[in-house]
Amino acid sequence: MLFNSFIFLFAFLPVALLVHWLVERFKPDWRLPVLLGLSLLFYGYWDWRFVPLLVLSVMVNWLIAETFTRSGRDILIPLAVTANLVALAFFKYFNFFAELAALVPGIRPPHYDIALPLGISFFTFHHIMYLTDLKAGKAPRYDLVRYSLYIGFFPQVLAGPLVRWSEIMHQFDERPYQRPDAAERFARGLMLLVAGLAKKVFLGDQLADYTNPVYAAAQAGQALDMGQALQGALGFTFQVYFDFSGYTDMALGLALMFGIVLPQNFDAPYRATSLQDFWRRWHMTLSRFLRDYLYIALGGSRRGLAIQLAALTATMTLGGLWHGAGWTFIVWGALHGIGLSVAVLWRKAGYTMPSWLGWFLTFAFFVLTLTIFRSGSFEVAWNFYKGLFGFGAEGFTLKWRALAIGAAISMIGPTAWTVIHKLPPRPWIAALFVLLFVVVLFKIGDDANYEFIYFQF
Amino acid sequence: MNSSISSSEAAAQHDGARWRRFAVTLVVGTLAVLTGIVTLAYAVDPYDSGRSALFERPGVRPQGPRTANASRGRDPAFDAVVVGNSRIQLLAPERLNQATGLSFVQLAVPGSGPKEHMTLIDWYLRHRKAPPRALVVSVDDLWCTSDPNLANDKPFPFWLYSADPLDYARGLVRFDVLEELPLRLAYLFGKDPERARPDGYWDYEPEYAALGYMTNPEIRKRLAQKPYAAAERLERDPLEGRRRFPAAGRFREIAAALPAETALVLVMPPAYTNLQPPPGTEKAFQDQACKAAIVAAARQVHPRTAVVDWRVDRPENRNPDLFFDQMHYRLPIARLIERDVSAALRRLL
Repeated sequence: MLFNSFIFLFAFLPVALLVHWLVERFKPDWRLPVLLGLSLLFYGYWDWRFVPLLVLSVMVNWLIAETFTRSGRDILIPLAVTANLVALAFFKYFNFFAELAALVPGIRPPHYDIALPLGISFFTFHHIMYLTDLKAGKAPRYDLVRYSLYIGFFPQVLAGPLVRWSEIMHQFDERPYQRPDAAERFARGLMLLVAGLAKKVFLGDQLADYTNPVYAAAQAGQALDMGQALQGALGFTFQVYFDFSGYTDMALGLALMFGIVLPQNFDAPYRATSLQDFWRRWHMTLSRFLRDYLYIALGGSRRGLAIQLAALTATMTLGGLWHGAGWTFIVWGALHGIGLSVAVLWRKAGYTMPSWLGWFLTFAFFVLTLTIFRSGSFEVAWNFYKGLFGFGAEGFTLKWRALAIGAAISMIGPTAWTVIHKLPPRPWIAALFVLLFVVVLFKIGDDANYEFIYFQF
Repeated sequence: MNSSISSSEAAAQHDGARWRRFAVTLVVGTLAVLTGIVTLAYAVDPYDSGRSALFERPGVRPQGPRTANASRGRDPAFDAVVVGNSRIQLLAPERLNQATGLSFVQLAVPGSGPKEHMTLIDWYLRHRKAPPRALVVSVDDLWCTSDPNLANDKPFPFWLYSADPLDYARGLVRFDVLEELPLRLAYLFGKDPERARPDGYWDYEPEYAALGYMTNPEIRKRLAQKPYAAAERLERDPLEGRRRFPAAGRFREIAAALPAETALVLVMPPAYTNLQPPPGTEKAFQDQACKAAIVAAARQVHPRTAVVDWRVDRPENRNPDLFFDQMHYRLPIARLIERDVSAALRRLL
């Protein structure tokens, strides 16, 4: 069920909040099992056939963690991590690797159209984070309910944020509604939910109307004029930000209403003045995961410049592949790896850059590489670049209003998270949020109700 | 120290109370405002669906047929109806009226399919006090789908035509309704507001012509495309007797519920010759089976049924000057279909 759907907002959420409040108040021992049951119900609403997969994934990983804790056999953890990656590869990359294998003469691998279980990219990484830290002696053992909830907690199971066990496990043992700031947390969570919904339906979905027709035209082989190409490229740049950061605001807000603080995922990324700065502000929990569990494992920055650059490029390339089974994702990731490497060399050489130029180069680099990400094929991306650089169709047709609003909010305005955490509990602010929520609900009622972009990853 | 703890506790309690009030205001306020607007919308009845008796002015302001047909379809002035999509839209109620003596309303909705058509037939029938005299239904190839849901990728406000008041109330929660409410109030209280044409006729020739459908060589070239040129020719239908057309089953229920005296005319609208599958192709077998299934479904339960089949090879369908594109014919053909429909009605009535 989508966060931006009536079934979620008018049925699941109120019932879940009521049941959760009742058990927290009268049967605190039941709180975690109830949260887990609600999470499975939420996950199963998409497609109940994926629930056994999620349950199996949790059971197997938890049993391995148990066995490791008791036996201390180191080999178990690398085996489990590999098994998780193999499961992810099977569901997400089977056809991609099969097509690669088919390039070898004599090999004719099978082709399976397997439905991608929602959230598998995210919960696989959760398993890896915990198991790696367990092996390193940093993470303790958890019982099955707590571990299941770490993996399957409904606000974050589908598209993150990627939460470290250390950020969430201790919160499961709290009595969230007994805290002195319980009402404040609930209210701020509700405001975050409303703000996220507003970002999604008023900005992300409007920008989709700007973006989709242009990409459809490019995919149909039509030549784009410079205005159209700009509209498509900038439109998707802002769309993906409002879509994903809106989703994250909703996830964080919902978790807060259930008494759990999840980590931030975006910090005004389009204000970044370098590529390194950008990745500290964009999908922050993924960047953190890639840094701590991949980049450092591949050598990091302490084994010389060559290894550092290679690790950086490899990490970002794999990060690109994580987004989808296709060469465009790989190239997108690799380009960011190369971009980050160039930035490392620039810094090591002691060069500096005015911040306005750094901002411009960073933003332009992201927009141009995101075109490859969105295009789905290099032909379409090439078609786009021709338009962008004046080698496409003649003329200049640009719908700019939503782009201007998107640019202003994402670049100048504070993030929803920042604003909402500063707001005082004034009645007129509540009244403004009432109006915003009502208009959002009417917008959600329209026939065109878009899914979130990051569900596909 | 104790006093400082107690004062910070008091502050926390005070803050907690303020935040509780804030959260309650937000939740209760949202529900109250939402309920208020839906109640207002229900009372104002933005599309004149007849669910509220507060205002007497009939009709709606000019708008698309998806919503305007709620008002047209319940208008007691019409004892006969035409239902379909753009491929029946050019039939003029006035001409049909002159030829038959009936009073027709056009409920055609461009881009709609059998599910939408049957929804509108149901709506029209539900709002008759006297048995309707005639029902003219366009049965194009969209009726031949094997999808039991009769799905259509274009939106249609099924909620507006629902028999369930809750379904309708839920449907009112949409941005379109928020935008429509002030326009509706202006229509209701305006001195001489412009009204959507009550009989639903729309001659779209000028729009098509303005888009270059008769002059632009690139568009005209599309008429020459032959989608079935490479289709395999078969001696017999490989799925003979096994084809299923869910629309036929659904339509049988509607035909069975028609009063015996109501004339039912099924019109298979024309297609330009290149769009008609040549005999012996699988598509042609499917088309034949589909037509037969729908006609049989209707005739078995409603004997007063006639068929006007223009999805056949005939001289008009080979004349490119009579078509905008491969599925949209021009006014001269519309006049001929009106003539055939009128003749069929005269036989039935």
